[in-house]
Amino acid sequence: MEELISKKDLLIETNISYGQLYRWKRKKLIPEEWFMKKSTYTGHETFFPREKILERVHQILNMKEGASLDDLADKFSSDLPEELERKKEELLSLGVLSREILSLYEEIFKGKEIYNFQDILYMYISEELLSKGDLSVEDLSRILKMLSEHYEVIKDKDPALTVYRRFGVTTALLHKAGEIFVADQVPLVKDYSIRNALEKLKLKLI
Amino acid sequence: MELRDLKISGSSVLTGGAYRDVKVSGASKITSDITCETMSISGAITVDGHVDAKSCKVSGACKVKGSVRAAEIKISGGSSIQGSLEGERISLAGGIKVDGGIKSALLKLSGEISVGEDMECEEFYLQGAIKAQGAVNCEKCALKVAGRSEIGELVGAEIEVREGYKNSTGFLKNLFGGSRGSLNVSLIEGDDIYLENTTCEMVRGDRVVLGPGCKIEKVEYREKLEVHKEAKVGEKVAL
Repeated sequence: MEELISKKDLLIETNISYGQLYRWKRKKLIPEEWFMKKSTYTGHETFFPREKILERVHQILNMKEGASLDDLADKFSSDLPEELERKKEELLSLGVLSREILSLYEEIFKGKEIYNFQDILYMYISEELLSKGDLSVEDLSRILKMLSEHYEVIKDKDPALTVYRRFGVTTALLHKAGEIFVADQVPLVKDYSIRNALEKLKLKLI
Repeated sequence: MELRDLKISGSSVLTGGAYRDVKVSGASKITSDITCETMSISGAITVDGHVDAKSCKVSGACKVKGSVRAAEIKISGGSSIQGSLEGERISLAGGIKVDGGIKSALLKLSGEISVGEDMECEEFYLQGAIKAQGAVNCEKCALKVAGRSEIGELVGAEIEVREGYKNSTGFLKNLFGGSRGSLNVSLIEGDDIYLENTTCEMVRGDRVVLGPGCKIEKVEYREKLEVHKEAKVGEKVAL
């Protein structure tokens, strides 16, 4: 269960006002689903996922100089910059992807010069998963195939990825935390948040 | 392709689609979504779909079964919108019913307005009675309430609620039964809050002024609290 923080404590801890909080909500800097209403003995109170909201508020407060709220909203919003395209050199100079992962992909997409957002996302996820060790390139290509076939799920459902291996066969599951239980195996990759990857990637790209 | 205009009066059945200027009056029906530069419908027009335009004017007793999205939206008379409204500047006057929500930079409401879902605006002005089921989130709102107004939640930076039509007589007074305008809301949260004739379970703010006619169960404030002698406040908590 993730730790929560009440709205009152959030305002005290971050020293922001109601006006700021609700302005950011209107600008979609803070997702609607982070505002969780719960009944308490003093009546209704709103709670937030503690770590996420504190990180977000600090990001907003630190980036405020120079950047408009609308620019920030583009970075945080769950609408993906799907029309975004980058050349290989740009990706390298932005430091988003390593040379190794790009050359691995060059073998797959022969002759491709410009990568779109989905390509970059899959490369980015590959890099993150490979860096955790344990997975082979073959495992990875199967996982990526599944991800690319379920892009709509990734977009709309905010799933996590868990990967199991038994007798050399890997099984990858997309799920929403807590909804799938498999008891007889220890996962190789557990609850890898694709949304986190998306958001980190967007911050690096835009 | 050059877009055509659609100008019809009388009674007919039209299909939607993409147009430049649309002007329909009478008792016609538009049977599907419509996209255009300017849209003006008056009379008893039914639009069986969404409207997407640069500007949209609706008057009379029209019915839009979808949502309306336009930079400028003006609706007057006794029209109803079954979807939501989204625009830069929205003004509604008369007895307007919106089943969905409203999203706008500038929102001006007058008359007797009912809104089914949440409202988000930068500036919100009201003169009249409102029934809004959802939460109203606005940077600045100035409400002159008449009749028995109700809002689910009212949150934002600057919030001002005053009794409207205090000195008015005749038509407006008759329209709202001659009683004092009041607002009933479950939660108010903002930086600067001024309230009159407001009944509320919980008010939270930095600087709060509770004027005459307020009935507040609990108020939590950070910097300042003023309570008028004709206001009733249950519990006061300084944070």
